[in-house]
Amino acid sequence: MLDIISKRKNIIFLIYYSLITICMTFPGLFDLANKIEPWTLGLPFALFYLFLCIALLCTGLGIQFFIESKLGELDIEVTPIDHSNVSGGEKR
Amino acid sequence: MNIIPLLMIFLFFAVMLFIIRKNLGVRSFEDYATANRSFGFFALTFSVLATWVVGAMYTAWAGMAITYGYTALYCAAYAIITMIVMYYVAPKTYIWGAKYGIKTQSELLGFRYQSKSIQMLTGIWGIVFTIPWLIVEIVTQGYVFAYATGGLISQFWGMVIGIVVVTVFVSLGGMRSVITANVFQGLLLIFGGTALMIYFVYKYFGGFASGFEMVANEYPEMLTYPGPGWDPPTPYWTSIVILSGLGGFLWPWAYNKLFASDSIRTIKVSALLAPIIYAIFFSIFVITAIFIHSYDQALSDVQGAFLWIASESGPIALGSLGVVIMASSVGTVSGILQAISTTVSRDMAQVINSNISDKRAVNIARISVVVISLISLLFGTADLGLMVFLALFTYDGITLLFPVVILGLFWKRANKEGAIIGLIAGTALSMFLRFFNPIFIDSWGWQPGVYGLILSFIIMIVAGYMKSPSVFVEKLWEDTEVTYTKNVSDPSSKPNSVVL
Repeated sequence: MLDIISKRKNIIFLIYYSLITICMTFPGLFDLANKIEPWTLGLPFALFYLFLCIALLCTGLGIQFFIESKLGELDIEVTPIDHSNVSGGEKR
Repeated sequence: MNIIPLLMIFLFFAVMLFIIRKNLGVRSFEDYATANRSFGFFALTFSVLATWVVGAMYTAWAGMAITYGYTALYCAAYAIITMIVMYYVAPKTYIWGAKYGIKTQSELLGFRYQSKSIQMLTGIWGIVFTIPWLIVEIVTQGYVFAYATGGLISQFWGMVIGIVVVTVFVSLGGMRSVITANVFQGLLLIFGGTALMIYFVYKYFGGFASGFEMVANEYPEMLTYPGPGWDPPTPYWTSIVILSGLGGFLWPWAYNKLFASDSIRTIKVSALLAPIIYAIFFSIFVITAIFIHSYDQALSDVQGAFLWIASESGPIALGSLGVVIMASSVGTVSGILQAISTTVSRDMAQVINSNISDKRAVNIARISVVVISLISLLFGTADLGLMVFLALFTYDGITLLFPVVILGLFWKRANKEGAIIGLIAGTALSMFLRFFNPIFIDSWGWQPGVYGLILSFIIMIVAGYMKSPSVFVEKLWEDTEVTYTKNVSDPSSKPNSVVL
């Protein structure tokens, strides 16, 4: 169940990141914002728009991090297996 | 000649070596390659930043920012995409790395695909596409020495001083001394660099508001894409942001830092912090460059414009900028040398001869550092413009590792045949389009790496459906899920602490 939540969460956030990235870079949406007027928060609109997209992506990462922290996904304890094989387990 | 800038640069080297003195003398290859997976989020964040921010930012990239303005902000845009990639690859990279003793990006891929060919091939990719960056950075160090001393120390001897210092601490201290030094360099370059830019903005332009007003009145095209003097279509912007974003974390000198971290939490906190810090730092840098566009003197030598404006501000400002550039450059060079030497030892020598002892593996890595440094120094005497040209095109090659890494980590069907053919064919197409530059590249705007990336994905997906996943991969996925589920099923029992 947790695995399903985790996978869906990852996909939902990935879609969110993709949409923002499309707005930030792709022809059409980017072109609409690529102008000086109106000045917003003391910045030309193109700069404000770019910073807004970056802020939205960072916020998304922050929310994803918070959810994963609550789900306990960030503190995975790993027991190393025998390291005598320098290939890291790969057959030679 | 004023001696203050030179003294400040030497002081920087002295303090850096003093800080890492206890890390020199590493004895095991595990420690050389991964620092025994011991670093927390603070160290990892500033290490990623120190490696990522190149000294050439104040020369080559300054040229772009001063000439074209807004377009240079593609770096701030792609940084966050790169960190999202880092965020997503972190769990499996960490789990497989810690569980199976994996020490490099190439070893991870060789392990996943069960292929020595992939391990060596991706290792070669990492080295070949990294070398131009190394040379650009060494040349930048020489340039800064020559400028800061008014030519007393020539560019060549500046390069020699820089590379000798880095070679000593990388070969003796490995990953541990690289990351420890990176923290010092990262703090200096981020906070020192930002403070200097703000100082320039207030000293020469009366602040950000009046600076923007001046640019909007006199050079409004600097505030939007693509900037003055050229007219690439929007897909050019799309391409450079997406390609750099997807490829930005696949440099072995960046990716291998994941193996030095102590937990998944550490990596993800770093992925969260690094783009925020970088976006603020780099945006202030580009805005300052946009303002500097108003000086004819700066336009006559865009690559030396920041050093010129610093020298106009006095020896302390020039010395400070020299230290910031040197911190950026040494951070990158040390990360690159450590990564290449580890790759030579781990992904080549130990693949060819699996009976190499641990001590010999460390020695091979150390000798590699010296050899690579000497080769880079030799090429450093060549034309810098050519090197920057080559460095920019390396993204066309390194981005092609993206399908191999992402499909390898997240798609069971990805197989070694698809990975090898996809990597070679995608890179070949990308390089062919780059060097022969057919007319549609400029007229449509989509850069060669985009075509190579699409071809590589298609080949890997088609190859993936041509045969079933191997027993090894099925078992690997099962083991990873067991490790993951066992830990996640009872989150309340685990600590939420963060190690510094």
